Amino acid sequence: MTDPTRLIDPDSGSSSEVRALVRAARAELPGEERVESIGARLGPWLGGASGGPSHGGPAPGVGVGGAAIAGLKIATAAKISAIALVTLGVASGGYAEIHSVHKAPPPVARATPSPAPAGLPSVLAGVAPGALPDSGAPVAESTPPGPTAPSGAAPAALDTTGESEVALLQSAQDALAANPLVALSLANHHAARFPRGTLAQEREVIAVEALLRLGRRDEARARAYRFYRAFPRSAHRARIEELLGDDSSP
Amino acid sequence: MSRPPSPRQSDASSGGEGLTVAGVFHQYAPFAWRILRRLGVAEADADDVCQEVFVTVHRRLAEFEGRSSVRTWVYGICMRTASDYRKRVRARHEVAPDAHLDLAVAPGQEDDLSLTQARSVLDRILDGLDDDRRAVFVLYEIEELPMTDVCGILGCPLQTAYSRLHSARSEVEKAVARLRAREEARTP
Repeated sequence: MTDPTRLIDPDSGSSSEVRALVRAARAELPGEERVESIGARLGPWLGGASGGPSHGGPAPGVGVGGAAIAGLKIATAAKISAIALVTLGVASGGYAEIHSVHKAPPPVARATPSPAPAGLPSVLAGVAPGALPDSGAPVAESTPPGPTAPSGAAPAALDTTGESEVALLQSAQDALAANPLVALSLANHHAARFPRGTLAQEREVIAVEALLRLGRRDEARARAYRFYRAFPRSAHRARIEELLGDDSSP
Repeated sequence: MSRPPSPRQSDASSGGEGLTVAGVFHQYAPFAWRILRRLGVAEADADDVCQEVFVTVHRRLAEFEGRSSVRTWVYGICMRTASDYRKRVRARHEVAPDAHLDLAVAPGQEDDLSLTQARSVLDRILDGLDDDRRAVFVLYEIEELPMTDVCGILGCPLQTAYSRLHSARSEVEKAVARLRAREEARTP
């Protein structure tokens, strides 16, 4: 059976209006600047071979702590700056009150080393617990264990209304180094808002790293195990194992 | 540039070996963006959703086995990403019916129909199709894929795809006829 004559061809019997509509649709392509802008936001993910940065650590030109961020250099400046993130009222546990309003990230990948797990390049990640098949309740970031965790810390204001999936995770990634608790909250918020999101795996990497930065290693490991079960063939597994160290394999 | 490279041109590295995200992006990003638009992604969201597509490409490129062309594979990712997008949008608000559409062109005067307006009209008409028929129409009539590739992307038998195309075409023509009649009724 041969394919039918396309509507754009008058021999198809289509009306002139329909042909005009199809012709207009075919003519719509984004300009070069627009494509370049999208590519720039994807950052080093466009620079690696198959598998990308997650297979081999940070992408070229991206320092420790910047790979993941650069990978999701996604949200527009306007969108990111619209996220009024947080008031972390943390009086005890050595945390001062933080009023953090998320600013637009610089146009290029950050190269500032993250202070947390030494030598570990930051990477996107994170399926929130609720998105995993056998996950239980979300990680209790309101009661974080460990000496470095804030007591009773919880975002008092988290306005992500209208944010896209990528913008939300970009915000989580951006917060990772300075405010891992915020990053974890955003990752969990992403899971709640996008339970079948395209970036579930990336979200989970963020969550695991955030838990590690908060000193909640057991929770990070548990979350990693759920990730392994949910995404046994994930390209991000190596990154999570790297974050956790040698004892991460189930 | 209105058509992506042919599979023969683009799939020199079938099976995924040697393929790079950058290579796939530079060859297919404009066409991914276009198909996302016709699949119901608002222009304001198209860049973000297009990025989501290539984030998925990045994550899954190592799994690409070359059973289909890269073009077909990318389009398949676009289909799923757009579907997820539409679900999110529908969860927030219903798409308005075409009651307020304005074809704004008389028969034989298609040159006067601005491209932007034409796309808007077409998108609203496509919004009235179910996802299956819309997908076949977009892939075949706008992206000019052969029907075998359309079936590969959608995972349906060839006859089913033909049937959906026939039905989609009929619905599009009917919608245009309704708009034309409305225009004629307005004309003194």
